[in-house]
Amino acid sequence: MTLRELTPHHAARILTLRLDDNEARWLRALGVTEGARVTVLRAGPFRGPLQVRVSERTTFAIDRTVAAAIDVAPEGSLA
Amino acid sequence: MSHHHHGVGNLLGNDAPCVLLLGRPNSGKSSVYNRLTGADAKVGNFPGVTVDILSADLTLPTSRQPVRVLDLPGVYSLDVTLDPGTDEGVARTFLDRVIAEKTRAVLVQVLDASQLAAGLALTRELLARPLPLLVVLTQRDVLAAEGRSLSVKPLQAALGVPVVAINAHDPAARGTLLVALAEVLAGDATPGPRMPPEWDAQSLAEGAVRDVAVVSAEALRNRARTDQLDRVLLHPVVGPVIFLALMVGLFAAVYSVAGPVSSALDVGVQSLGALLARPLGRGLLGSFVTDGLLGGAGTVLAFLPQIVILTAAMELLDASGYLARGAFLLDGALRPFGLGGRAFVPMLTAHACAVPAIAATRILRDPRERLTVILVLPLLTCSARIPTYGLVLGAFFGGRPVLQAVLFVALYLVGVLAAVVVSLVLRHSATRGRRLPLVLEMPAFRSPDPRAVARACFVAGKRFVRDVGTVILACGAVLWVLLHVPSPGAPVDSHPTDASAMERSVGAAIGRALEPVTRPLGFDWRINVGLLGSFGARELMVGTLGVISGIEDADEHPESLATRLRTAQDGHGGRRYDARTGVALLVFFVFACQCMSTLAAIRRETRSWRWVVFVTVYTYALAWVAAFVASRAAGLLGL
Repeated sequence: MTLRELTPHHAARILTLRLDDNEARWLRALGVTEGARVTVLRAGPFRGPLQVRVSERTTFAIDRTVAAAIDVAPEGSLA
Repeated sequence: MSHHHHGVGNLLGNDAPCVLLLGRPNSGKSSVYNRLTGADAKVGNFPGVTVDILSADLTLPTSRQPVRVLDLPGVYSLDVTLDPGTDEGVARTFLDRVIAEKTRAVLVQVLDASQLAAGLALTRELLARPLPLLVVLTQRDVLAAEGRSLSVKPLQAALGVPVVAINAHDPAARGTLLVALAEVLAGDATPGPRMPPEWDAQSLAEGAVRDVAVVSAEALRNRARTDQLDRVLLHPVVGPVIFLALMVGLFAAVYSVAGPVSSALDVGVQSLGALLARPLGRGLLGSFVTDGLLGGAGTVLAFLPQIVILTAAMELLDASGYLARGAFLLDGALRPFGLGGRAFVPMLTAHACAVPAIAATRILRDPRERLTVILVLPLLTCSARIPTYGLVLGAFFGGRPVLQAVLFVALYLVGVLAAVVVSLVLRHSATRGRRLPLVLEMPAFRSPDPRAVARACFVAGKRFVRDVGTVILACGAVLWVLLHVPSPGAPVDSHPTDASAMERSVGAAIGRALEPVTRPLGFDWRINVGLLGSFGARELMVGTLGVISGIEDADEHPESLATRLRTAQDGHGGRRYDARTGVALLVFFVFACQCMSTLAAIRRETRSWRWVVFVTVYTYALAWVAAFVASRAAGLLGL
């Protein structure tokens, strides 16, 4: 399952970044790394980016095409 | 503590070791800088570095050692940079030069303790550089409020460099920082060997931060506050509406506050002119100083307030965390045009002035997107166009206030439309290639630091006067000369008047030479002289037309010039200009990049003359075609 398909407010862990090397390094530098816990909060208007909470504290706007290239393992529903 | 201007030549200009502050955006780096240096700072221009880097000199209390503290742009990573012109590229270039020139320097990484793992990724990159490193952890108070405690020791041991934890809002933090700096400079502070970093940021962070207590009620409130605000501000319907309202309100505020301030400054410049007019007389020198130089200075000052006010507003929005939300809301809408959500920041700024807007493109990480935005920014309606719009609308649509208002709004919309359409075309031609998708941190909402806002305003004001002011002054002076030096070969007038002297000037001769090109648009040599003046700076258009028409103070009182334009005779009993001329002139001003400061800024940011020529040619070509089409259309509509 990819980050893009993740139901909003359901937590997951990042498994792999299926992106080109430079882009993957950039995401890791931001803190979006393998093993990080992620939750999709909402999607932007006009088919815009996803707002994703990463490692509980930081939130990112992540383009849908990038989200579609991030494989995640769902953890189960949050309260 | 003293502050320095930086000389050219050597990168840092003196022998004092430098302290380079580095850190992720939103890491609290500017608070640390403020705490260390006492808020205010000089903005240095370093050769080869386009970004203004803040720096201040101070003396370490224990060793009496002078040091220079430099605040580098915020970066997530130094190694994953794409474009040397962006903030990250600048920090990287700067660091590379410090290393290459063997400047004595200490790196200070400011690291948000509440986002430790993310910040440690940058630490790893910094450890690979051959410079001493001090890690400063901020937000320990936030961490504590969240019920977590941080132990510095395991971090220090794993990293092999000194680590201090501070609360930047606490005045005592300055002492802690200075002592740590002195130790690093003395070279006796490094507790362990600088190993090639083998540790894993995530587990190191997990080892250093521990859950110890209950989360404080305040921390819970803070966390909930951002979530609640996001629910409203990022709502798919309400969010964009609030965004639009905020932007409209922002511009209304900018103009309503800037107007009175500009008038006050203008009164000052005028009384100075009156004061100088007496001793200098009405001769050539007097005319040059009062009309040529002071007029130009007045024009610069008239635009300064709105630059400063818009900067303050943008800085407040940025520091509060809202600009990242704006980018989130707009990304989907801008993507079809080959732009990303963040592009709205420079595009908004360009409605005041393209020069700071071009500098604002440094936040765009994608080099192609950044270049595209730079190339279309001159199409957006900067405030320097407004006096010309006002004059032309007043001259040809004076009796029809509703049409006037509709046309005024239409001119803005045409600018925005042109910018996005041209950007779409460029993304399929000159700047085609893969687009980097948006990945952007959305920081928690917080209240901005007023000192940082004040500093940004100071930087923007200084940069505007330096980059735009000098060009306006120089162009005003050149134009004055062109209009006062008689053209060689012009017949000698036995009874010269101001107006007839003007008609035989070099400027008029150039204006006449351009008539074959501009006749289809309805422009005669007089308007051409105005266009000639506005080639350097479009701010000069109204004043130049005033001089040509023999009307003084056209900048302050455009009504009489508007009447003159409307009623001017063509020598055959007909009107010299009509509404179609007016429409053509308005449309020409929408598209043409009549601004040398903008061209200079494009040169600076793209490091190439190619794009300067490109912008000049495409905007003038577009301006001519669009003005021609618009004047024909106006004729068909019976204007």
